[in-house]
Amino acid sequence: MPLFLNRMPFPATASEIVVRGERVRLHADQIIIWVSLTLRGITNPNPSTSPFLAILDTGHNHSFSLSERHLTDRAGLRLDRMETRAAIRERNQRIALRLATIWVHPNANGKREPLAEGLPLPLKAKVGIAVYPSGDFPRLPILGLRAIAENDLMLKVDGARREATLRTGGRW
Amino acid sequence: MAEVTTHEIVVPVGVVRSRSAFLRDFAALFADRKTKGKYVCYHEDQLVAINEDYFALLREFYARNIPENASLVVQVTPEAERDERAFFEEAELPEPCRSS
Repeated sequence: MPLFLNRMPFPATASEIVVRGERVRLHADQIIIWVSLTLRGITNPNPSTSPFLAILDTGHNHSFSLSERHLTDRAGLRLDRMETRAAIRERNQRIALRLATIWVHPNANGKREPLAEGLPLPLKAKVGIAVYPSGDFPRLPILGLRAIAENDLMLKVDGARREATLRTGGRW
Repeated sequence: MAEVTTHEIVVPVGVVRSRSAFLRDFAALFADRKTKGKYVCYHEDQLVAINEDYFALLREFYARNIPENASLVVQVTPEAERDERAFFEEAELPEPCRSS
């Protein structure tokens, strides 16, 4: 049974993670998830793809959201090569929903680091990913509740142990 | 305040046409057991592919060189129909907002 998050810790204190030489500040009580993005036409995993960090936020109602700067600097994609599937209005601006495939890089069991030899797992982004103009939002890329619902995933948050597990559906 | 960049957001005409065709056909697609709940692909005005597996449909989509800027891959569910209708209406709205 594929595990997207394998007992991912979410500490009660703020922390920092260094990703490709860049320090990323994390608030307390944030569940991280390692992801990469490809153009939608790429439907096979690339084990050598370098993942970047996103926040798993069940209060966020897109599949995946990031800024144009995240798209370029972290995902390594060019906006002009991603077709626009739709546009939405939000915070008095138009936001493009772009065609892409989301790949989740599972973490090592009980650790925040991605599993070194793990194959990335694809997620559908049926209506596309939301790409915001580079600005204040989102501070970090966000994997939203829609991605969990659209891909029939199950999320278990163990508050006592401060761990989150995300996997394909079925009984625990 | 961080720097804000702006890009013109244009939903391709072919995507809008494909969306319109899906909305036109939705009731019939949802009533038909062969398509209900499955993924369909519209190219402009035409339904061109059906598959129950999203990624399998995408593989077919790219193998057939269906253009991304003139097509729509969508699931035949009421939720998807609601989403596509919202997207369709947004595209038709004048700035800055719709009067109700």
